[in-house]
Amino acid sequence: MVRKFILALGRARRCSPGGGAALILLCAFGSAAAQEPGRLIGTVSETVSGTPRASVAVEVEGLGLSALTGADGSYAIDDIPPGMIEVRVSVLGYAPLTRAILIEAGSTAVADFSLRISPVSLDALIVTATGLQRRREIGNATTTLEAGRLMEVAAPTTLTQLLQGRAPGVQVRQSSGTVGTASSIKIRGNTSIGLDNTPLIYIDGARISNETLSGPQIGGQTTSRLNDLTLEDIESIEIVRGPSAATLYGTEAAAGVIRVTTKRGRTGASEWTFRSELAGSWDDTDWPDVVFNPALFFGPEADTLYRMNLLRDGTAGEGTFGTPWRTGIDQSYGASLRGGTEGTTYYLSGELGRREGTLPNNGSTRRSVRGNLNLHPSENVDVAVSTSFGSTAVQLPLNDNTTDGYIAAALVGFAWDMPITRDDPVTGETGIQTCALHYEASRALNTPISSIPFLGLPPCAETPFFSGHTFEDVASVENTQEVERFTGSVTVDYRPRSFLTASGTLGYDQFSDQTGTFYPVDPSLTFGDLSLGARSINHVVSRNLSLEGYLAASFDLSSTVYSTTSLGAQFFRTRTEIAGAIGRIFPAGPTNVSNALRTEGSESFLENRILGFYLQQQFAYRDRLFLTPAIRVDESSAFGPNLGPKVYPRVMTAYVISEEGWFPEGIFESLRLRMAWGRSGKQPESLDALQLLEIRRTALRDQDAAGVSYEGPGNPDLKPETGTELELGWEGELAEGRVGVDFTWYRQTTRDAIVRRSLPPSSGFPESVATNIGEIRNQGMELALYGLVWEAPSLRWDWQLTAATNRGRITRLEDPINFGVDLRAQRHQQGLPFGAYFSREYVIGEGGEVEATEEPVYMGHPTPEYEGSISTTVTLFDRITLHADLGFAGGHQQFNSTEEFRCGIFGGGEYGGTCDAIFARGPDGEPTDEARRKVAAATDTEFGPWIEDADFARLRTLSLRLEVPDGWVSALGASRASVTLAGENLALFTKYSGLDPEVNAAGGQQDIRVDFLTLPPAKRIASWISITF
Amino acid sequence: MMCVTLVACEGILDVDTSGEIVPDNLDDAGPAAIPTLVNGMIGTFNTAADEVARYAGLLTDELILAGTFPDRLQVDRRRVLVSNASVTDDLYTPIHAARFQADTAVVLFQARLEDPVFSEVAEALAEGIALGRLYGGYTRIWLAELFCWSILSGVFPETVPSLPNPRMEEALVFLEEAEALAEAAELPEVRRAAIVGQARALLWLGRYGEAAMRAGQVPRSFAFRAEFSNTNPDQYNRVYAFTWGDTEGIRWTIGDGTSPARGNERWEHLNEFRELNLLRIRPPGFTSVAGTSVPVVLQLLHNRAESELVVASGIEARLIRAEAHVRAGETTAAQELLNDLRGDFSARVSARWGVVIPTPEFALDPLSLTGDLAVDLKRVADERARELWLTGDRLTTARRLRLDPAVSIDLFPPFKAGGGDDVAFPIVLKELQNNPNLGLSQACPAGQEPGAWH
Repeated sequence: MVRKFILALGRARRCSPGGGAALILLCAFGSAAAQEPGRLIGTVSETVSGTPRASVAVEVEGLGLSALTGADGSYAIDDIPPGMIEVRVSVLGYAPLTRAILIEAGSTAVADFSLRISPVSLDALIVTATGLQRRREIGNATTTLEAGRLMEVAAPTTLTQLLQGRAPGVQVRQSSGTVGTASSIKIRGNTSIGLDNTPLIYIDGARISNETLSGPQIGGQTTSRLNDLTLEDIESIEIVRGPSAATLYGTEAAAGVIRVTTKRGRTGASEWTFRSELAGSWDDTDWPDVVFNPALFFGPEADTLYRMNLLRDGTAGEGTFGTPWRTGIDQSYGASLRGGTEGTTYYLSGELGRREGTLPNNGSTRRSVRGNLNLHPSENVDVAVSTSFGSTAVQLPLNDNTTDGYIAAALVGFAWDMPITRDDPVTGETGIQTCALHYEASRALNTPISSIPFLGLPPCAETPFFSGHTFEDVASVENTQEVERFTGSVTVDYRPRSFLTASGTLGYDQFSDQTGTFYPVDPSLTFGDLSLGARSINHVVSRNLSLEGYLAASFDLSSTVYSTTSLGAQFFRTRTEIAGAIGRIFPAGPTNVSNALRTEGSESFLENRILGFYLQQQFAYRDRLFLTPAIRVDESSAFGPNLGPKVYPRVMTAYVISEEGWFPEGIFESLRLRMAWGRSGKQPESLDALQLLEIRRTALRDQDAAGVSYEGPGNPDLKPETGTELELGWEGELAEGRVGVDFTWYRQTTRDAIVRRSLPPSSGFPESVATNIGEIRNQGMELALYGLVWEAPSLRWDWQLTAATNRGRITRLEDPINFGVDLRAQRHQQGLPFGAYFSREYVIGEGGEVEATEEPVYMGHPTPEYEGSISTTVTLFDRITLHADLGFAGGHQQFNSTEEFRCGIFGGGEYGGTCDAIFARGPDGEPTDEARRKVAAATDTEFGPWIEDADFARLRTLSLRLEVPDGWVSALGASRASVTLAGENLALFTKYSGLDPEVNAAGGQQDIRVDFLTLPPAKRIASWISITF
Repeated sequence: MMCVTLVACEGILDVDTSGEIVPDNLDDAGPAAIPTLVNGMIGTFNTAADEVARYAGLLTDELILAGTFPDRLQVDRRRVLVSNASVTDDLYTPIHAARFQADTAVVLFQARLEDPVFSEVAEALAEGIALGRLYGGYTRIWLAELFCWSILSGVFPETVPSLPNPRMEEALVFLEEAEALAEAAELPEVRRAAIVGQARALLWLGRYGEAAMRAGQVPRSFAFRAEFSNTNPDQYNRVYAFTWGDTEGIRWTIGDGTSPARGNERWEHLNEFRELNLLRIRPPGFTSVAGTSVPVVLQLLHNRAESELVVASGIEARLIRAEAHVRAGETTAAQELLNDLRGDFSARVSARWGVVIPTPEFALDPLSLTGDLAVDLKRVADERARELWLTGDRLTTARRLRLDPAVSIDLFPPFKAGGGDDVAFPIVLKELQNNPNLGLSQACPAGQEPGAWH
């Protein structure tokens, strides 16, 4: 990447008559370099504080020489031809510096640099489809996250957590508190109705799987392949937002692109860095009571409410059953080595980590190694090789939409079975051990407790857990996933002529994923036939091959106009093979599927290929006004056979207006206006266009026979969705660079949106058909505000606000699509937001009675209309750093189905819901209006009262970081060391009454949104030490 | 230029779809594909027959709910919403899939009858056509018997829903055609099944004499069965699977009236069935997914994954004749038919289900009819309840007798708290939303609403 970096600058600062004086000098000296070479050394630090900056790129322009600063901010570049050189120093988040330095033959020159913080620097380099470009040239909003700096003050455990709240418009929702599970990630809202809205992911130029719906069947939560990345290896992350920015990525990029760049080596002595982390997490949820109201069975005189709370204190009546919770302990150990020579640099790393969830059978173990190599075999060739291999093993608990889960067992438990000791209301016998149901039955029926079983009532259950599933029973079920993954890429940059650049990247990403679920052989367990042993395994192998390359030519068209033409091609192939087997009823002992009494197997595979070409033409006027039209043409194996190639155009422009002579001074240090319009696409699922039949196994004349039946009609006219976006924005620096502003307005429309249109069942086709019949529109604003409140040698205080609004509406959809809980809690419907909640609405009428609408009405939607974060960092004496990050979101609703289900279980008000809310009484002893509404809704099995506003703010991070004093570091022989203590998810502010406003029982799924017996995120304290030698 | 390049590179986009079955595969197979299509039609029909037995049983308390899911609870409480996912996916859709598969196969097979390429499979084509018509007839019978009204799309599209009687008339036409085709193709079992189906349709239509006449053509020992297999859960008898908890949790059971949370539903014939050893009361080791509060009573008719489901039989034909005799005032003839069945009932079920023959005190004794139409029809219905238990007949019989103004016998279970008085299923929401010929208010004929589907 470093070499590409230099290449890009070479294009921008070319040797030409139109260049500046410094460049003329560079060209002149560059041609006379036949003497003994010189050396350049120095340090790079921050202004005012003087803190050394590591990993800063220091490069000699036009000569292909460069270095990265070490942990102490020092750098060294050898073999520099004598003469005047131009040195450029740049790193994300700071204004780059360029300085002319004289190198004398055989001597060492010293140049120290002091960088000024500048979050919106116009000359920052951005990774694009056509290589590195300066921000000033790009018409789209760009966000680059410097992962290393973020990781210094926060302790995210996954890539999605790292992204959460860091970039405006990137919406990350944490689906649960279960370690190892997926979060959903979207950029600029829901750009598709029927397809996944997860952005494409590239690592060092290789497109990788962005699967977020893998893992064993555990009730709803899924695992994400984005979690396979080792965060310590990430150098930076580029967020490519919206169709106009993603045009050159073609079909599939309409939901945006995330480009991850990993760390590279640096010229100089080897540098070791060790990192060790220890963390603890705990559940702090306010678990609701489970209530039994005997009046529901025995009439209003039986008015004693019985309560139990197995998750909070593990008790029910006089029974003590214990809670399932534990303190989850996380440990990780990592080491990296970086260094190199002028011709070769390397970065090697390894990490071992183990995380524990707060439930006993939840945890993950990760091992990863990475080797990145940069070669500079000749002056005009650079090669960058990236390789990583990792293994992830997760163990997941049952929860969410399964009756076999911890939370279901306790929150849907039967309080009428709670053990109590009472005096017999009929005989007067004292101290009888019974249960709430028998005692109340005895009172109501005036029958001795001992006679109750003879009335036909079942005996008191041994435990009050749902289905008798104790926490120990649930813990005995094993759900595992083991993933081994290789991701690699090779990028070759070749500059055959000064005006011509060629670049090609071969990327390959392969993972094998083995999931397994095992119910142990133990007839005493409460899982029915599964207690005789059940095992299911699933083996997925996914191979993703990406090939891309471009050719770029740059010319002066005149003394003020510069042209860059890029022609590129991209090929992507993904193939996924799945094989599974299920075995039921095991003898005690061996538990391979093959040892089961009943077995079955399955196999499938999917393949998809895309080929695309693009042409981009950039015109630059005086290096401040840029106009860039482009076009991309794609063909895909998933397109319908009746469809030809798909064309995506784009045009963008950027204008650094502050560099005009007439621009008034005093307000803006820099100001850039930008505009982009463009299209990109999203392709159908691999088999959507095909008419399919399915095997129908048939028993015929006492034998098994194979038949076929119709499954789906297919759609030969199926085409990709087309997202069109207009984006306007500006960014600037004010107050002498102490304030940075980045503002964007966008409006995007997805036409031909693919909708899985259900067919009338009378058609005979059970499956839906993918059809281009929808349209969805998103509009919003994004703001990133950076401020340096105070800057002095002993104190620096800065803050950052990211905020984004998003208003999405389905603007065309002939018939609503029902889905979600009971296939009716949510709808995609024209005129409404994506995934709108629907239910009959219950209100208290004038006469005090509960009235309900005849038909379901719109009750809200699950996608936040605004969200963002506020973070602040205070650095004292260059040694102590305090950091806080508060995330927020609002303007949306969440379906509290946990309470809806508990209030409605066994007929709700009629049969005895177990939620507290339906028994609420006002001061007059009568049910509250809310309770009456909930009773009515529970009886009707409707959702309205439980669709609640879900605005929230969460203190995501609070951390303290201490740089170890130099003397101590030197005594260890190290160059830098730090210790950090961070708290994650320490506080939640919300009026939502459910377990958590962010969770989703459907895991990484993006359309279904429901809080149903889902484990909320745990609180976490982490500490880590990092030391560099 | 880029487009031209794309076209030139088209081979690079070829993907392997050999794991999927597409129509080309059948075309390529030619005559060899015919048995596969016939088998697919049979399998689809068998699945639908199975689901009919489950849901008809749930609406009439042959089964009660032992699971937690509200949508099936709606059926148990006889207050079915049009959005009910279980009714949509497990009942409505399989019936239409079986009908569509049968109707489509007949069209495909007829088109190939004259094709010399298919001459080698002429017999299979003929069998397929006869079976297709038979299944087309029976699926239409189900639509008439189970639903307040129904609509078709696909091979025989309709623009308005059809009430049960016209749908039954249509079924009759299909079954008469099936009888003729089966006779020509020398398929006696298919022919007899078609005749029993005709008798069943005629009974519904109140043409009792014709029904008896047709039923009289079928020998007592005849049985046309939907077969299942224990090889793969896809082929399991699903009544078995969902009441025995083999591959699924136990979600249905026979109500024994001991569950307070469930409203104490009790199957009307519980004692009689228990005394005949047709039930096992609360065996140890069997719990429903809702836990021990819903006791599980095992039914022994569908007691294995491969248990067959009788779709049409000589026994049913005799019961049809008995009812026709009762309605004609021929009490003695009806009584003889019924007592003939009662006489060897235990021996038959013992042979077929493997149950222990009851002790003499619980054996079935001959019955005496009274000459009172309503009383005797109820008695015939009781015989049907036992002989045709859990085959989907209960809802038909109960609905037919309740809708019959001459007797108005109500065999449906009493109202349950929070429930309704549905005696039929509606056209489901998925159909209403996606069929351009229907509006959302057309789930049932005007005047009916959830809780009052008739």
